[in-house]
Amino acid sequence: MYNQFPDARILKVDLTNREIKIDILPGDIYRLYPGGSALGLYLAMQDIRPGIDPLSPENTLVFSVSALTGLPISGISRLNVTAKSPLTGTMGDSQAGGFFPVHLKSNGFDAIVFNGKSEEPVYLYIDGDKVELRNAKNIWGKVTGESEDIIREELERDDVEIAQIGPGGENQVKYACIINMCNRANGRNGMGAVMGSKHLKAVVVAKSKAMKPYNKEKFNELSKSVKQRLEENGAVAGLGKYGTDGDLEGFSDEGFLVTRNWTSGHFPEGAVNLTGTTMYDTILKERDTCFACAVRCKRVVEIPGMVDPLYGGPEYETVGTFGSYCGVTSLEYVSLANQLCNMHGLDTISCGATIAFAMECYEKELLDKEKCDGIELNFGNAEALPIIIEKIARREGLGDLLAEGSYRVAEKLGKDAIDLTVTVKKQELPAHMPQFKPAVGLVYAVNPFGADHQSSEHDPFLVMPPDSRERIRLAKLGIMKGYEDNFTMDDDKVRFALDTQRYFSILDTLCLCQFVWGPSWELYGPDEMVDLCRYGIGWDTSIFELMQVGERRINMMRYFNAREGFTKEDDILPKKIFTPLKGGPSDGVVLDKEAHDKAKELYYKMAGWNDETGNPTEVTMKRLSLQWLLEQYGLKTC
Amino acid sequence: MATGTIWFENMLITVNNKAIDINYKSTLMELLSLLNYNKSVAVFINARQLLQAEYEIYELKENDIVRIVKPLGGG
Repeated sequence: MYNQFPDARILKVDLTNREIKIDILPGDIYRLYPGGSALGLYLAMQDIRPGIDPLSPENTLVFSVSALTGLPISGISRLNVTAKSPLTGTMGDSQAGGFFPVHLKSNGFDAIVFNGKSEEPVYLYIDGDKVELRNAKNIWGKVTGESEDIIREELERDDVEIAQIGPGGENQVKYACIINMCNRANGRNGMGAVMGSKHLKAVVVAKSKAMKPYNKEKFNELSKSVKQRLEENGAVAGLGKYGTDGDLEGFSDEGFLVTRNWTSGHFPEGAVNLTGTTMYDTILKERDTCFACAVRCKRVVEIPGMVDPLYGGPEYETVGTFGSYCGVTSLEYVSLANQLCNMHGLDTISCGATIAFAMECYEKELLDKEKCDGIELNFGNAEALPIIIEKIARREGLGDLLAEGSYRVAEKLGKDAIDLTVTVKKQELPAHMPQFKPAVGLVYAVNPFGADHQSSEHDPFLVMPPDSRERIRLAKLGIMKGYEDNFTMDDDKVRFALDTQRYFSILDTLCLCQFVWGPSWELYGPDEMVDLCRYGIGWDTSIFELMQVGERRINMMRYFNAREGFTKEDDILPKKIFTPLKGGPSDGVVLDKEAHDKAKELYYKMAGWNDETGNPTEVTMKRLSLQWLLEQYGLKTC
Repeated sequence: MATGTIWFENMLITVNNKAIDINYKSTLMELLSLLNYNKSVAVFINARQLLQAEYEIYELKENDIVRIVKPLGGG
């Protein structure tokens, strides 16, 4: 089978000069960066000069989907956003689901590149080849739900999808996000702040038709098998029923639910209230979905007079950061916090974790009541959450300080406060504890854009028996060794971390959902991902080519970071991870620092990175067809 | 412990450090269902990991020490 890889259509928007044009990226180049994060990086690295301020007009912001986006199958509608991150200073990268991605593609575009800065607030409207910048002064300052209503009224149509920022992005909160459907977030790395710095309020796409597969018969077999796969896959079926929060109580029972700013892993007083089964039994109104997806994992909650279902419902990470991180036991207040973040466009992980950090600072008298605008900021103060989130979004009082993220706050408060931060590259850690998942901890440390829980497979799947779906699929990637528990960190685990990081990197490139497509427990495994490419668009690929795509993306990011002065000295887990936890089954547990450091050194060698700098060597760059970057920037990294 | 041909209706086993009274000759799968688990777990009985293929057919015995590990993943 030979089929030319499709060309990519790139929409280029110069916000300073209000110029819009369409570029074509030839298929033979697109195949190396076949969408999403890799395509975003390829495009951003053409334009971003070294050392620029991420919130200046010199930053480039890229929205991208993939060569596969728009095919009618579960887990395929993901939007990637790329720009230099104002939170980390690294290349930034974030994904969201919904219906926006498929409609961006169905309008004929694989990516949008935004450069410069508009003099006045604008939004971009795309309806096929009709593309225009429209005045957004009347929605600047509005929360997401209000803006959606006004845009639809102004365009006199409901059949549009809208990705936008809220006041958080407008005010350049360092962890502001981009929201579509009022409840799907490109959450991490502060991409919303970059959008705000460009006076770009929203991107609006008219709804259009889905893509037709290349081999309809074979593709339909793959697509329709989802029903049986769901019946046979208890993990994904459970995720659909109880959401990502379904295991929260289990984490607490094990002693590894992040509690009171990482001082404990045990939260018995709140876990039952906060867990997904309780949400299901109490405030869940319905399960929502993304384009063509049968899993329906999205939560929609309703609390009359308090929480509006328009803003969806909290995911596990959100329940963790606003719940157990803050010592808050109220699912109602956590749901309200989630709503406010979606209204104002704030990343729930960094926002909740920054508030939890501030609570510990308050209890340790590093922040006084005056600095806290008179708020008693103790752990467990649920009523403080909505007040502080509003302040952060508007950058008022304490909110202006916390809008910088926990690490920058700590820099202002001094060394004792820095010891209380839980960040990598200044980004707050998600709610999966390295003490429980050392391979995830390794990837937290080395990941180019800061700690991320969706950048590699998690340790517990290696405990499954050898004849399980999880282990059979991992074996196809050459990952053979099983474990009796999660806690071991050895050479084989390093290889597991690296190879599954590359695999997840493919997913973020092809814009595939990591609950549907993945290397172990998910609905579709490695074989089916190759089939998807073949039957979906006629791309006769292999798992080898795809793994290299994933590896290429990671190395591009790492090279960008090297250009910005990052080295292995920035790949450091925070002190708290090596400080004994208090209470419950994990009392006294720490991550083994010696094993972690040894694993990191081996990781650099396995990745083909320089021993001293931790950055890609010239040989590695050439092996991955990235010599053009060496030529463009002249930076030798070894 | 009684001797001879006495049939027990129930027996005691240990699951994740807790004693559980369960029907005599229950299979592992019946235990998992009783505890609201599906097959997507790892099981160690008396320190030996079972294959998933054994879950339906393995008959639990008095005093078995069972460790069930539910993989807690991402999201």
